[in-house]
Amino acid sequence: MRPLAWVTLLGVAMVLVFLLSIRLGSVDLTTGEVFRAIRGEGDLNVRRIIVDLRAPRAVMAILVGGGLSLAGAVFQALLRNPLAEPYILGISGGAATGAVLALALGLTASLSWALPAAAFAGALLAIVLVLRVASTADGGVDVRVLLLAGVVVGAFFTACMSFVLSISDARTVRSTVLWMMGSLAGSDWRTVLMVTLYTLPAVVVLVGLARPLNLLAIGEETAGYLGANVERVKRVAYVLASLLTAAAVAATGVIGFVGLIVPHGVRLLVGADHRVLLPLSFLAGAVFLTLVDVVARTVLSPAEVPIGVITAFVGVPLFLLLLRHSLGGRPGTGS
Amino acid sequence: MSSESTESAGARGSAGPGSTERTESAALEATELTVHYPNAPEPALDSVTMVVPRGAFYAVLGPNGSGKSTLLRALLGMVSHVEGQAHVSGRPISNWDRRALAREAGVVTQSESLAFPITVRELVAMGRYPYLGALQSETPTDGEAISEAMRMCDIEPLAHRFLSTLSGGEIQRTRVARALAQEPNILVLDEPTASLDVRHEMEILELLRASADRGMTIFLITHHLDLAARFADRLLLLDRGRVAAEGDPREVLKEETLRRVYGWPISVSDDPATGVPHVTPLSTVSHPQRSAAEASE
Amino acid sequence: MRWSVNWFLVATLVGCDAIPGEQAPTGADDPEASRASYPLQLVDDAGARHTFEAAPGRMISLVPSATEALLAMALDDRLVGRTDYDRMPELADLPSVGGGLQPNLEILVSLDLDLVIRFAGGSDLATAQRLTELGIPHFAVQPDGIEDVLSIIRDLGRITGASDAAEALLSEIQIDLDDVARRVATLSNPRVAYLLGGDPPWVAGPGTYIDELIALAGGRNVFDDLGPLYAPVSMEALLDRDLDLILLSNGLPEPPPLAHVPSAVLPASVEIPGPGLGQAARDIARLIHPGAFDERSR
Repeated sequence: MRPLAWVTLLGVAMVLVFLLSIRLGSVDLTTGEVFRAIRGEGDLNVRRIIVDLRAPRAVMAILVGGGLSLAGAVFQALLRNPLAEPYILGISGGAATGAVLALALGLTASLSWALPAAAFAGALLAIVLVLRVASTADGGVDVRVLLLAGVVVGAFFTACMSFVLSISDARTVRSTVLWMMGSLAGSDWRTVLMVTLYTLPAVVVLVGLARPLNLLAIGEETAGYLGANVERVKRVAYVLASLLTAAAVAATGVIGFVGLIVPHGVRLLVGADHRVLLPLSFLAGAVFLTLVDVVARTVLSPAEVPIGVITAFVGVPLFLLLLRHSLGGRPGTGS
Repeated sequence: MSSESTESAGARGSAGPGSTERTESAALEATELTVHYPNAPEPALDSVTMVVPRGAFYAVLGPNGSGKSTLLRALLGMVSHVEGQAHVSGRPISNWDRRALAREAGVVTQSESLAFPITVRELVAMGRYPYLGALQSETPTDGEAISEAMRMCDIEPLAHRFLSTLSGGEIQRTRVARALAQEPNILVLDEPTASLDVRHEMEILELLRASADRGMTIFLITHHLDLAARFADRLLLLDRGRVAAEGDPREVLKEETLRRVYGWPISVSDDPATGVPHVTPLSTVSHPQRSAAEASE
Repeated sequence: MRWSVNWFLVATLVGCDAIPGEQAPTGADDPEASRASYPLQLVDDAGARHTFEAAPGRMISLVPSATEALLAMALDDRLVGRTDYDRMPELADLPSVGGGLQPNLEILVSLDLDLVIRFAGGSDLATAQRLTELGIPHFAVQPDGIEDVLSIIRDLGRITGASDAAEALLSEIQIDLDDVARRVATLSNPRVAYLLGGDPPWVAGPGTYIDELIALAGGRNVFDDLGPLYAPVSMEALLDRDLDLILLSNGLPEPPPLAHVPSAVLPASVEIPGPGLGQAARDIARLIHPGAFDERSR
């Protein structure tokens, strides 16, 4: 199928899934009630449910699902590694450490935004650390060092977090573990706005880097000879994809799998041209996470299954199917 | 774009053996070029001065580690810790915007590793990168350049095959096609025929020679002394980062020079089939059959 | 990452945990206003001021202690929802909002509530904020120690206009507590520890109602120097502190290294710090000083 057809298809799917996400939930509402609420009429509580609870959550699913998928695709190109995903460079470890410190020190009691802010700060710290280590003398970024530094920094932060947990009380432990599993439950319009401020510009710039990212796939040296400003592209791609991830993690915890399987799935369907791969990864990730969130909050209502569980349960079989289907057509990477 | 380059190529003419070109019309030029990495005991390049005349087929030879690849990178501005001057088409390399440079010079490096599956046409199409905007799609001009490049390298039938299914020779031809798709005035290649069999090697060299004859400047790093002598207009012999000899193949491929540089007994004679210098490394181990044959010559 | 704290333990703890050291002022207004009188001004355990114009008709309690208190005061008709932890038959037909922490907000909103009783402390500040944003009134309670529990009962009574029932309940509890204290007044103080489970085992420290009940029941909590309300301690510390009696949470087996120490399993009445405090005190005292409870006399 032509790329434009895919974009249209997924764009429409995203709108439909968004509407579905508003229509379904823990409380049974009729479509009529939902539409009335959107128009601002009808029962106050129904309006609250739709406008204050479901709608921001649906938007957040789009932003986070799309953002993580896009970041995953960019990291896979940057690190030239199909196993790369947004958390591979220590961002989730840093964010988790920030979060657990905020919880353990009781900061969340006085400041409601302490948790996301601390998580974001922790993520930023990891990003900066890894970038410092991987920066070369002439302002470039050594990608092999980046990967190694990221894994090591991530492990270090995870150890810090474990240590803090080991000396914390039960409440902190439970809160941290729940946060780590990821959840869209706390999404309100203010958080949505903050995430949008980080996501939208990053998406625009990263999609604009599609061509140089294509070139990176055949090697940095060749990319440079073909006219790409390789070092600048690497740095910008790393920073923006990391910020995208940090914003998502700070807002919703560590939602796993999306950033790994969505770009792969899209790549299996439309190939490795990033001009198509990047926008489609965003759209596909948005659709995927929104659907998963609907499942997570309705299947065992009133309880919510942690969203990371559903992304794995749904995503892995889907991905394996895709893989088997295309294994005949597309061979390995060769050398 | 294509018509412009043919015009200037015609105006340049080709450099015959022994001609001395002025600096202004040099395609690539190094002046006292030195590359010395911080922790290295010796410089990788030491005061190298050389000129590649426009339209010449210029081959660079030398033992392993003599600095051939470093010279290539330094000329094209891909190396740090550089002293001295490097010029491309008369302009210092530091003045070149990378995209403009990519339209001027196409480079085929020694090897590449592909991170993701890619088809032949997709790889060749990447040669049009210096001509296209951020999200711009291919124009018909680009399509023509790509097709022409694939035709020249005889890989059109492979256009939609995945690279991993191709032989070494086919992959190399694809990479050369990509460089040609850049419609460059200068083609730079680093040992493009290593690990290729005779036929594929000859095919590429003949393609390069034909391109040189049409006015393209060829800068070729190779290990094959004989083939360099046959196809190139000028040779550069490097020895541990220094210029050992530069000029006409006959002047460069002298026995004393080669023995000194390669540290091996070498004999040079005129090849009866081609008429160009033919290089024969001599054997230091005495082998009954061989010694008898040599003795009877 | 390996969690050695088991989930039942955490769930239990969550029902009675809070940030150590944060004791906001309780609704300590003058006792003369014990009659139902509106408008009612109260400060909750998170320091928020509340004004009640009338008794709330539709309530939910996210805090098991408070839920039990409301049931004990026969106010369960005011409850229109419950949590998954509320398994009392009277509430079985009510819709559940999930856990006490991070309840399902959609269901909460759909219940059209006049008041939500929630945990004070920062465990779930996000929920408190969302409730405020959604315009649903919420009252924070923190059932750490005995006094906390008693004041919760008092506050709930005043809020719901059932002060009489509250006072009656409080009197009952106080009678039980005083009786227990009287019986053990002259007895020795065995060295006791209360284990909640986990590996390394979690124990109760000062400030918890468990600790206070132990003291009331004539025992001595060997972990009266514990920092947080509940914390894990090493097996060595347990052995080192020379225990006379180990009290085990319901369903917990005695740890093998402590097999030489007499142990007793606490009945379920002790698990939740609510109106059953009096009975809980009795149960604990009976385990610590069996002899003092052979004859029953009030």
